[in-house]
Amino acid sequence: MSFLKGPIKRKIQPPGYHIHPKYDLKKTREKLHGHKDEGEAQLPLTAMIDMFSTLVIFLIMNFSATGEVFFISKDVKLPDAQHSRPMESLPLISITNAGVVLEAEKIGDNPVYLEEKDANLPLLKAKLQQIRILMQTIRPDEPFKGQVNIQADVNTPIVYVKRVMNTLISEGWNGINFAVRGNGEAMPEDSTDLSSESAE
Amino acid sequence: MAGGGSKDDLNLVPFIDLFSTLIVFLIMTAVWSQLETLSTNVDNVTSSDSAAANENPNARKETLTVTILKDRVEMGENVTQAGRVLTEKNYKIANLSGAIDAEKMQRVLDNWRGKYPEKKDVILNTENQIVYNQMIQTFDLLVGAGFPDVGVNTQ
Repeated sequence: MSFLKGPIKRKIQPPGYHIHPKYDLKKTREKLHGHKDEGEAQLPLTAMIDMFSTLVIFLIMNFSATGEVFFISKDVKLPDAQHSRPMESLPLISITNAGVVLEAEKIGDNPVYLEEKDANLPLLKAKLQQIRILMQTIRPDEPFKGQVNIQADVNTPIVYVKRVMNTLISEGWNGINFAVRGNGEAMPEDSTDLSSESAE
Repeated sequence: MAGGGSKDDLNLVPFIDLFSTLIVFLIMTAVWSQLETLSTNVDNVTSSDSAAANENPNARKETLTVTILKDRVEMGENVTQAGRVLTEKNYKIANLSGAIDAEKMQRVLDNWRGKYPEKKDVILNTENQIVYNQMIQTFDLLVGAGFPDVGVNTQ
């Protein structure tokens, strides 16, 4: 009211708050006019940090350094097993009723009736030879172990798996690992160390 | 409080940043489907007994075989020495519901474990009509019963 000057007190004054006290929302008015609670709105962080901590602990408990990401076809449902070992990163062959896939590349069909002429998978052979050469080029000092992973659908007839296994054996890939869905309690590496036992 | 509180307030911004980064990293690297393997070494189909027998023809040779057929599982044990058959037994376990009767198989395997405590290898034969799941179930049973050296016959 600084603009009202003079010795006589004026009758007319600027209008003030005039809502009937019955309908007055005092707190809201104070906030709107900034008379009270002028500090910034506080975000309650305690609950968020609690949640973050719980989530981090849960994820760390479930963290696995092994079991790298593998290409699993949507047609493949892996069987369950209780006494399996951790999976290693090796060339992966997928077998379904439709065909045989090596490293996400189709290399053979699975006909309904296998005939004598279908016993071999020439494309698989060629690809295996390529991988073998590549592995020996990368690590010339390391002996060739011939280890490979096979994954197949639970309902795949075993004859298709045998066909792939025969092709693998003929190319010197004797270490065949069948991919399964484990229970997360994989047996230690040396408990089924076939290579050391066979060497004895 | 971060960004304008009093000096005594703990600065939580880097703490939250670190937690967020850690959570994103852990979620991205999480392995939801636990993939594992059952290993076979094809060399073991011609088991260590065969090698011993080649070196010493009079050596005792113990052969354990499990054959999965469409309607049953046959579990055979064969012990020979110097060309003479000492033991020859064949257990037949029917697959009534089409699935492997794990309980009955386990009993035979426990019996084998007691009789041949040193034995590690078993030959697993399969009929062409059976499905992959049946082979893996049997394989898993054998490994669990203390026969880790399972040779899968591909014939």
